[in-house]
Amino acid sequence: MNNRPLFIPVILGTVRKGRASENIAKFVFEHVQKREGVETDLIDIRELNFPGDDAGEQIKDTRFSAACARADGLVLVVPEYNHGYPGMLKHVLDSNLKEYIHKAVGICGVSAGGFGGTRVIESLLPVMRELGLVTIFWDANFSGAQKLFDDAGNMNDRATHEKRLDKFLGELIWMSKVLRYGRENVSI
Amino acid sequence: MNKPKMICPDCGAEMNHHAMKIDYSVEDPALIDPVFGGVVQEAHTCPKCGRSDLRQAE
Repeated sequence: MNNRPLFIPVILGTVRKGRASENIAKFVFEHVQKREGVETDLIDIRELNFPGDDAGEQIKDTRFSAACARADGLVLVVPEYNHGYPGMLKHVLDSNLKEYIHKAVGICGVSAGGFGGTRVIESLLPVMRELGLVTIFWDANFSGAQKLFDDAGNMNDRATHEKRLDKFLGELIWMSKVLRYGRENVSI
Repeated sequence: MNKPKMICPDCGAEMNHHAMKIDYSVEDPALIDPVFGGVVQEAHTCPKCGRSDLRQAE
């Protein structure tokens, strides 16, 4: 088995001003960083260079594609907008294909209401599949996003979210290891 | 007859073929597999460095 550390970047999937998902992405990133044998990066899609007059693999962003190519798994932190996913996130994700095939993905749903982005997670599942990504069993759900952090950036009910995230990351890391082994050693 | 193994352009190791994907964006009818309606691509990953690449299946 290859001993390279796993690389699991966290993707902040919205460009909106005032986005509540930013604090959540930082919270998730901080916890991925603590995992032994895992390297990570926080990728803010607002900082990427994607034109709006074309789409798909024609508009690859070098940094984003390189991160996805290196990745063994991805964490998507995705707000639910009108029961769907942000269009800009889809625009960004569509710029790669070979970089994703048979890699793990876990989705953190974020919502203003009480359902923790469950609907955006469900709506993303067929997209993940078509991109060749393999979704995990656990989700991370963040409800009441606008009130989840105080003005000083402290998370309310942190212990509960940490306990849930621990399960989420545990499975994502397991799936990332298994799929890396499969990609590199098990032939079709 | 099996195609030769893909060789990793980065480190020279033999790559592992682990997935197939149909590319429907190709317009040249000579390239399109009539059974699948597109070009069948093979996904290969290098066990040494982790690089992944696609190539057209036969």
